[in-house]
Amino acid sequence: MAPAKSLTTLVIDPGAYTLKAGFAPSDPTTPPNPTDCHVIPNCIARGRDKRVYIGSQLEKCTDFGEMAFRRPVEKGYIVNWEAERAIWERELLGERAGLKCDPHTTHLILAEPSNSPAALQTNNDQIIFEEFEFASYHRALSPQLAAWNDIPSLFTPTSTSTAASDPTTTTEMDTTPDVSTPQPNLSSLPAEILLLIDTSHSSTTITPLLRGQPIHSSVRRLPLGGKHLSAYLAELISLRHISLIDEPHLVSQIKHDVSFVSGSAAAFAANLDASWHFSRKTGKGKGEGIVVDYVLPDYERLHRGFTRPHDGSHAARMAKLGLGSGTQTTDPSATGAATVEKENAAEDVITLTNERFSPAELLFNPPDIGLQALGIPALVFAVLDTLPRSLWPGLLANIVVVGGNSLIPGLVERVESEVRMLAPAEMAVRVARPLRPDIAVWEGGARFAQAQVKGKVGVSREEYLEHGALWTARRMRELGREMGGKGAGAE
Amino acid sequence: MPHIEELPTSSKAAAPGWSYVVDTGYDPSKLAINPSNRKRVRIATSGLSGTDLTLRQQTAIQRHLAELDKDNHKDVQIPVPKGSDGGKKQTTNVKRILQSGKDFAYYVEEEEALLAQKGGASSSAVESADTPRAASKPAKTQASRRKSALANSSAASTPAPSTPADSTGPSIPLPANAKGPAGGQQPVAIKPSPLAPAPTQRITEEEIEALLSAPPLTYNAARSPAPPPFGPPQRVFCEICGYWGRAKCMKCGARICSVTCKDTHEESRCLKF
Repeated sequence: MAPAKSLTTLVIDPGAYTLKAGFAPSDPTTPPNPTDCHVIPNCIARGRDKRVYIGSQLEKCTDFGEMAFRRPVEKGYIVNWEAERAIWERELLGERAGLKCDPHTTHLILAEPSNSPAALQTNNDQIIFEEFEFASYHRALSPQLAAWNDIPSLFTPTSTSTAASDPTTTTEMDTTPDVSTPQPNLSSLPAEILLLIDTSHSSTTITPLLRGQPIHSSVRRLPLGGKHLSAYLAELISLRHISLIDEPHLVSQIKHDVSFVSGSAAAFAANLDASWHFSRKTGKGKGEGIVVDYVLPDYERLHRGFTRPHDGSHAARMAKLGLGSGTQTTDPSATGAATVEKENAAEDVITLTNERFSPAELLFNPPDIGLQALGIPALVFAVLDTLPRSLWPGLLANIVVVGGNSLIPGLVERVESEVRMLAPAEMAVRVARPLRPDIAVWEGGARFAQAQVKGKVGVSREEYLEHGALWTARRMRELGREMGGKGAGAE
Repeated sequence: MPHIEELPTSSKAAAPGWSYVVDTGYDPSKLAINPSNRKRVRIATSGLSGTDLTLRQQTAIQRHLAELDKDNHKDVQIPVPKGSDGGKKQTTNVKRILQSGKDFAYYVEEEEALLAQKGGASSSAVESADTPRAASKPAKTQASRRKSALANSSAASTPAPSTPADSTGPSIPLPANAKGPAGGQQPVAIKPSPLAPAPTQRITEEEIEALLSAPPLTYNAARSPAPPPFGPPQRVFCEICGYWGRAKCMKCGARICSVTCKDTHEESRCLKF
């Protein structure tokens, strides 16, 4: 039934923005190394010179001007296999690929988000077995894989200084239900109880997990993610400064460089006040620490934009030189016989004020753009409301934020303080973030693969060919139940 | 509303795109869509209270959200580069999947339609999140899914092997079903703990089992619910600079913060879209 042990295990987390792929360590005692995880842009891009880039080819690209992207993963689900196959073949499989994976001797763990339409799951199974011909395959829910990370060590104070991969910092959780049986090594088991907030490119999903298994009926999703924040930022900049609406790559770089989350709703109001143009003009608020200048790349001399402290006299100097701020450098006099100063000054600078914190605020207040949905803290309690109250203390004390958006400074602190405000006073609230929240699902998957001492958990190609796609889909659901704390690889 | 049903007669002209419309008289929302006097748009809709949105505003919001959801601002078609196919023979399934240009919305709708056909399970999926009472309904769909799976695989050459976990699958929600509210009180009666407040009461093994075996919701059912109507009022921002939208434009009702922004608004945006 179980496939042979000699197979290598490949873990893939196909995100909408980046694909996380890498082999799990063959040695079961060493924790997975983040450098083993290849983070590959999961897209096919086309520049203004009509050159097409696939996946990691983008890293060699120097001109991102007017780049258009085709992303085969929609809302976190692999929808367009035509494009996704091209990326996999280029990056993972075959001789020339970066990962040099031979599917015939590989066990694949593929992460998928919750609430997937069944047709898409079947598509995945069919492509994996019939097109790529992997020897064995396990389609697992990504929150379930993330639960295999060393969650307790995230909450110990030392974990911030030392690596989270240190297995000796494992501590017993206090508020878990009384179900634990004595185990020699806790890190070889998924977290007992966990509330996972996955804030990714296309949405933010909150999943409560018990004994490493998701409580499916309580999973809730806020349809806002990094994509929406970037698009909103592009809109704001285009309205106020230069049109960047066709520069999604540049805008997401700006977002990475400058954005932050206000500490609370009151802090948001204070930031808004401080950075308002009128209060800056009248000297009531200087917007110090908030207002920055961002130098846009021209992809000729400057290939990557950067921030610098706001210089109020910049616009005046530009006007003196006859260069209106915010115009493109198409003026022939600027490129022709121009002075050195003019040459240096011919850079596009935009001044960012509330653009730094307004986009990220949407995750906490979706009605700000008219989206009638609860923000992250309120959604945590919408999830808890569907669960018995006896589970609340355990879940509230074990909140973990993963996904790329959690790298925005201040987001984890804001989640913690707002959940604290809404939570009953007698319950402890702890919110943590892994060191690498973007690859947390991959790391968890690699740990899960290591924990399979009794053989690989999954469906082998022979079983698929014997029983068909519907049987495989059902078997995958059962595997989800078996993945729980009862011990991996129990077959 | 009167129920009007079209009887199949041959004399009716089957023109495409016509329908019966109930005439309810004066409709302010229609006026908002097609204003006769552009300067009076805001006055015409002033009968609405502050929190109500006109149809026009709602469409604008929906369009805005759809814009934010796009990967590229413009519609672009990027074909997958040729090559590296190796001339491998593809199976029918693979061909079908690779050539289907369907988007995610299609799959969600298909799933909803499929579940609706099986007995309205998609609408009950939301209820099952809140009440254990509805647990029997998803169990039914699971059973019917299994039936169809069996029927399909028996059509194939080999019979599907029955796995032990599956046969117990549908029966797992039943303990929660039978226990109901009484089940929740039972552990308190057994273990009266004067020190422990109500929230720390123990959860029973059956309850955990019922929670863990509940089927997943559909994609749409798992969406974040709308904020409660009695919550804090919606924050409004200046359309131009993003500061608080403390004032409204007299002509179109857009939010602005200061005279500077009002001038910009009138130059570039007021009644332009």
